[in-house]
Amino acid sequence: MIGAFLVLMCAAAAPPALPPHAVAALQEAERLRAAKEWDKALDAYARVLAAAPGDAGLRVLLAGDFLRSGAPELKGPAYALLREATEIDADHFAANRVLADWYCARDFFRDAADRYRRALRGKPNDPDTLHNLAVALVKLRQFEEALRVAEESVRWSGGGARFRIGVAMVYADWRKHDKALDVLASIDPAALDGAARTLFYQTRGEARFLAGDAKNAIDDFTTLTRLEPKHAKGFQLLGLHLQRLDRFAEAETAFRRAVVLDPANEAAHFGLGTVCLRLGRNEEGVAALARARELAEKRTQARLRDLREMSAELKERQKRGWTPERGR
Amino acid sequence: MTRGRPTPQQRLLLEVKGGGAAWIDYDGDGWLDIYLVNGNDPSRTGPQPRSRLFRNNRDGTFTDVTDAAGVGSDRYGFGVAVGDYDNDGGDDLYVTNYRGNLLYRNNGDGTFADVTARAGVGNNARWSASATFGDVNNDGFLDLYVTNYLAFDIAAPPGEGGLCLFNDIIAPCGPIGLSPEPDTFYLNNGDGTFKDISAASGIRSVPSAYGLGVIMRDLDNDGWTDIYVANDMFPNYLFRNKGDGTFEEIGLLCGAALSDTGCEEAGMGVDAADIDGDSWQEILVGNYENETCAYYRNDAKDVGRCFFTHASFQAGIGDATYPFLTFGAKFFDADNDGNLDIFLANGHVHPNVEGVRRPGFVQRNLLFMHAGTHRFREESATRGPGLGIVKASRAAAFADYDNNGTMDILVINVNEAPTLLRNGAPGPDAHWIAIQTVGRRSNRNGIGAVITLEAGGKEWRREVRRDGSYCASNDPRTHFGLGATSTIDRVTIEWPSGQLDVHEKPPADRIVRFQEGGP
Repeated sequence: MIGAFLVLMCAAAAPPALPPHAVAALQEAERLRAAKEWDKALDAYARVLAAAPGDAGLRVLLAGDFLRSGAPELKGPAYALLREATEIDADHFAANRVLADWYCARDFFRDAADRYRRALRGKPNDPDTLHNLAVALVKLRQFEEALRVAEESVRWSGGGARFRIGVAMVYADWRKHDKALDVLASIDPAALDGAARTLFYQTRGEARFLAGDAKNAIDDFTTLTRLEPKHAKGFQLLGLHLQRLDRFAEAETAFRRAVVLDPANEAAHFGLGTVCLRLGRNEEGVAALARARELAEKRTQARLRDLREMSAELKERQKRGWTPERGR
Repeated sequence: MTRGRPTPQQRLLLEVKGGGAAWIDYDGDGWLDIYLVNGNDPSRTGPQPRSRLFRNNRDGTFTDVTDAAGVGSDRYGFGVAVGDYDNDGGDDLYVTNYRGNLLYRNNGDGTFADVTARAGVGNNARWSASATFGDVNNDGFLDLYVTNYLAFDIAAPPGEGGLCLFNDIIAPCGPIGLSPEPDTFYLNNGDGTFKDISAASGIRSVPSAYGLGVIMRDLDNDGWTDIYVANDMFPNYLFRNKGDGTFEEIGLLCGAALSDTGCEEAGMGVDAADIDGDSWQEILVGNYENETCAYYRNDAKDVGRCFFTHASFQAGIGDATYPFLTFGAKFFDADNDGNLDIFLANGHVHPNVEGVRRPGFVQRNLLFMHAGTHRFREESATRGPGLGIVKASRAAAFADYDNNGTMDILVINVNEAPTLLRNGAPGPDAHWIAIQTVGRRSNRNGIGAVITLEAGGKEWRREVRRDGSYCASNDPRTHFGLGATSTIDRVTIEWPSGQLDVHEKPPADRIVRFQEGGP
């Protein structure tokens, strides 16, 4: 979401000129919003927008403002504004990028890919957008196209290491682990910053494990935990792969560290419970499994919320004349 | 063979989950016949598609004998279980449906009688999937476990006309958000009737789940048949038989309920067998795309109590099954080398993924060959053109239908003809034996008997079972590949009654019939 804010802030550098009555409406809207009178505020914003019916930039500006506010009541209207912006300007970069990220976060990868492509028409060869498009295509298992796009992102980034890791991730998801490892071999991890370095070791560790090189996979996850000692997922992955090698005592140590760093890491609690049971420490094992299942229940509730969101999305699409046949 | 299509886009969840298949020797001639469970078309006013029985002509062809046999149900069918529930020597059929299961008693003259009401196994108006027969109290009569999926009203489907958004795919609504149905467990009274012991047995002491697959096996080697249920989007259940008529659910504590990251998966097909020869059975579960097929390695011998390790990646089937959506899943010896291999029947549930994701709605099936202790290698591409067929597969039923010593596979496909994959004749180093068990004090099929076979310095241990896979019933004869060994030293059968029979030097390369307590 931080990325989305940056995209929107960049897009909204210049506020549009508005007629006086719209400026007054905007001031009123801001006041009502500050007072958390959401419905009235949205009515006032609607009057502002009515004064600028063809202004995609204004809609993107307001959407960014709504999202930055953090108010849940303004999230839906923000995305509606972004949709409106793309109805005015089909290839609006910022609007399409943010909508694409929104679709990606909800596993709507086909829609996400469509939005990323439109964003790329608005800002051709943007490496970040190409990278994100490649990720969406991987999720759709359209690997040839994903690889082509990922390689484009490398080209337009001037060979950036982060984007080369993206190419390796495409190969890894394609189950071409040797090729993924070839790409990663061309990258010096010492030259990477924190997030990219984490991604590098995570990707290489998983690729090595699946390619049958368990020893070096464990080395990668160990290095990751040494370099990023606060990274709970790194410890959880180390624990998981040690567990897969039947190294239960070492796995337990890694899982224990992961749950301390992130008490909401369900997989780490589950791993800890499993290895404790395997090692015969039933009481500890049962307690950790119970915690994992509590977290799983929260995950289930989140899924039900997603389902409701999807139902709302379906209704919204049908309102816009979208039929299942066309959606195919 | 069709699944009904009341809507052009298969908008109902009901339309995407079936159907089933069974190998049944309904006429007792020693050649296995086929029963196919069909869907129907609720919107149609005329005659409906029906389930079908095909008699084996013993020459590689089959003849439709549905009408003569009286088993042409036009209910919306899903799965089938075969067992001689009344111990009269004839294979009986239990067919699971949407709203009203059916029990057909074999009359012994090529016909069946619908005895559902008398037996008391109609399962009310539930939507059932896989079912299995097994003797859980070792009284000599087969009991019946029925998985139930969810509460569904075809007249008022959930969502927008039955449709929902699943990610960005228009798809039938469910199962998430719909009410799961509890499973049903029937105890055979021994007089042609069954008693519903779902509550009394303890299997309803767990949360209701979307049940799809089930096997009965003695997973803790205590002599009592346990029950393993593959649930869709819920933890799988392992009901340990306490030997006193009750069961306790131990799946989570024994490591056989979830993925190795603790996630519930979309369990469908399920099977179990001893893969590494340590006498403890591993469990195989077919799951959704972006999940792996689950291979639960049985580590009870090392741990000293019930304990399964999710070992899909270690076994070589994790990475390879990740893109596929698996229904039928079974261990079997594909090449008679004495090691069990794996077949997976795949196909997506949402027609609209076709062209959006790869693989899409239609998918190829997968054959994994044994490649060392708890290791498998995918060899679908090199094991014949039948494995290159791409359809939306569901049930897979396994049998040696041509009695040539190799296991063949019948695969059900959505809205298409089934696929019959004939396995070629065994090669010179692919000896075999198929053992037909006939119980006397035990149930007539010998289901639950444990066969230990010794040959060439090796030992194999298998349970006599007809279940395994998804919505399917398999060859009643227990097949052993022997590899280059053509001489069998000994076959020992531990019957559910407690009877122990030892057969010295039975012949290889043939089907052998052993009667409980007999020679």
